[in-house]
Amino acid sequence: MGALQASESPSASRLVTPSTIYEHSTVAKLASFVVGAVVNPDRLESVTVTSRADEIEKMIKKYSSAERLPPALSTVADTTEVVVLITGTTGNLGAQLVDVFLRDGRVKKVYTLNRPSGGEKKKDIKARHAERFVDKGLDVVLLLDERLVLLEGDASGDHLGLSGEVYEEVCAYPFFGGDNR
Amino acid sequence: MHILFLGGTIAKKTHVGFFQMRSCVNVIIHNAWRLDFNLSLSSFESNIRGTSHLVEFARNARYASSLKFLFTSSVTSASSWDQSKGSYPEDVVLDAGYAVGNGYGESKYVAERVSTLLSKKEAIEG
Repeated sequence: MGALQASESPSASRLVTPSTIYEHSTVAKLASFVVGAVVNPDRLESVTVTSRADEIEKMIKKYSSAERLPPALSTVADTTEVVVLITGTTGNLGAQLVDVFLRDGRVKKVYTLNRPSGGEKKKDIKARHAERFVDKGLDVVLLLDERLVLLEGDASGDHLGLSGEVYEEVCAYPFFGGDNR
Repeated sequence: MHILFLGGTIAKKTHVGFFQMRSCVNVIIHNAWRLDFNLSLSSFESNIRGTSHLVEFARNARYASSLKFLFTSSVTSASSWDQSKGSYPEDVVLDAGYAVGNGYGESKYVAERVSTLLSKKEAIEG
């Protein structure tokens, strides 16, 4: 692979990327790739782009089926108060988003959703946010705001992977129990 | 805690938080994503599934009609953009070939397309 990258053929070397080995995960696949890259790199490049584009389209199709959509969108009137759900708030940008929303008086509630920390030392969700806030020079006192709800879950799971009960009084509306999929 | 039930069915007690959120959320910012530029598209499938679940959540929400759904994409979703065409448009590009590069960027592109498709009203009427 190194020889291919260092080769004088620009097309051949362009075909080798950091993920090449992962994409050709057997010896046979990798060998076939290398041969193709050496013999006819331009053709291989266009075939590669086409097959990768096909994979992309397949994935799109898999997750955009219309059967999963409800029959009609609700027509409840707009509200001027902001109630926001943000995912990935223990990260760089996410923490800054929490900061911006909490410092805005029009915001009524901020829900955050993050996956629980793995490994042996399971870190507390509040501690994880505090750590990131300190790291980014954000005011940790904001994390005590009663408008902030730190949830642990996983959007790829059922009901966003939320477990246990979340008792919240601030959300004043009764929830619609008619369709609990 | 006092809960009022509308409609005939009763939600499972463990999903109270989920339904409460769905009754009041009017902005969603989907910002979480696996960060690794060495993986292929398939490694990001759960992130894409998560995106579709969040759009579904938005569609079933009380304020669905006016809900704002924001998704943090990435420049890598345009890895193979042809510069001779000028700047990448401020819109979803329908040619998947321009997203080919690494799995991370490709997955961000998939999510852009999926959230656009699932949020269209026409998708259900057709």
